[in-house]
Amino acid sequence: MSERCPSCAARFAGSGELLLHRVRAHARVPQGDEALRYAVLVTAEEAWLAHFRRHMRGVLVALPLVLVYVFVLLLGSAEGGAAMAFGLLLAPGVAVFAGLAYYLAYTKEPRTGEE
Amino acid sequence: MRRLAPLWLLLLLAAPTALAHEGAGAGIEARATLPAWALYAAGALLVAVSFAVLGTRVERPSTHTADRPRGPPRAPSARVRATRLVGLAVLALLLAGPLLPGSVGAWTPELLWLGALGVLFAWAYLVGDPWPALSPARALAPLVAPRSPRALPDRLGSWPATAALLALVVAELAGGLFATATGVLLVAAAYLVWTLVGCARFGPEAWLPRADPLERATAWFGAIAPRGPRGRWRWPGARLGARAAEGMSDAAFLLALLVATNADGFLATAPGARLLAALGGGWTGTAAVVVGALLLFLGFLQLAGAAARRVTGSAERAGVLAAALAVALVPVAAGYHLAHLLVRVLDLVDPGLGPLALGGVAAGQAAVLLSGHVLGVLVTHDATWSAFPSRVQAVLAEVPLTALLVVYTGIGLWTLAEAAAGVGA
Repeated sequence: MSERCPSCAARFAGSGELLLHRVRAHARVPQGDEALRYAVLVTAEEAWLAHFRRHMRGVLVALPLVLVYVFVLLLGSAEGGAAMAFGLLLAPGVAVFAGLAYYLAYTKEPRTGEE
Repeated sequence: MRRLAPLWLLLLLAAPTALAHEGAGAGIEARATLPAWALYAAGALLVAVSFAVLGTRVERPSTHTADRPRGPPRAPSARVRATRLVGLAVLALLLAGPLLPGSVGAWTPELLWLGALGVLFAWAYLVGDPWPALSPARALAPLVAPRSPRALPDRLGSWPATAALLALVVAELAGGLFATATGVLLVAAAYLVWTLVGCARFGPEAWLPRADPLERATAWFGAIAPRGPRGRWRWPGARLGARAAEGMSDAAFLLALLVATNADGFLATAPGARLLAALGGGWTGTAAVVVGALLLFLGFLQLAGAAARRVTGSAERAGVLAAALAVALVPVAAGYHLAHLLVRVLDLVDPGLGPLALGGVAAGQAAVLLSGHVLGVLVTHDATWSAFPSRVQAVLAEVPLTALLVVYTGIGLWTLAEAAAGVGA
């Protein structure tokens, strides 16, 4: 069941979305119960975004390791089968190292004010 | 958006630096060391990584970046009336091309290419929209404006401008009308008739913003420029995110811009030439390719809108979301345009470019193209934050559109590489 904004007639899936829209797009000041609901919605948003940022940090740390390995592997493939085979032997080690880097970046506590 | 400024600089500088080394030998040396697909993948990955970088700095953009809504149209100032004389003079030159002495008349195609279509658009996205001050249609419209104009149906949207733009593209590709003084005369005359007849029927304020392809294109490109209409400076693309395409017709116009800036490159590739031959070649084949490309891109955009609706759980229709997010394609079209303009200018300066210079040109084109795509990701970020009330929805909605931009990046780089290989062969 969708709800419509009384100001601009835009459609929203639920009352939570509608409340966020009315506060952010139409500068409505929430009062009483609405203010409480808005605070709860914003807190849930912040928690999700913090989780997402951690994942992106992990990706940005681990990705260069994987890319350098793939790049060296591609260059090695031009040298022939033996070089390629040697390169593939390193794959599990690179995967573990990249995974560790991802985990460390994910679990690193953000500095105050970063999130 | 101000806090994202260092990221902007980093991403926009990384794009040319990352590929400059490989791109310099793209047509010759790099093929011996790296497969071509690796270069396409690297370009596409750069676009995807820019999404991840933005993801670490997620915040709500400032609402102050939006332009204030325009008031009722005002009478043009004396300065604007004077600059519109320049636009009229250029139009008169284009119309008079075949009548001018041989060496002068032969320059009218370059005047159209570099002047009207090249420098005009480049000025719009690099400095600001110059068209309101130059438009010959607006200069002549008061002569034909009716006292009681007919209402232009809302359902037409921007389809008249889209149709006119596609007609220009087909005229260029199939008819070669942009290559001779007579062809340029026909194009300029057709533009004049299209704009003035519409002004006479519906009034210039209703007709021109929705039917003049030059006015519409420069307005969208002008939104990328760092300098706003009131002289305020902002980061490139900062004003785009707060705008939204007005329905699917406007999104279709943005996609038509993309097709217009990329069609000749695609038809220069071997698969493009084979497709054109299979469709019969000539005017009908070219029209089929151009319209088919537009419909294909519209389909991709609708898919992205449907995916955004699904992942965000939004109640808004997929078409509305797709239209809202289509603004991200404006910097992509600008990147393609600048890449083509580079080649055009260099060809004019030195027609006999050697293979090494060609490789450098290819690298420059790739860098410009990638910069446009990375800017598209940044605009996507802004557009989703304007389109969705929840920051979680905004981030989730970026994913399908970033995927779409990754696909366009791959297609764009492939087109450039195939066209460069064809030139260098």
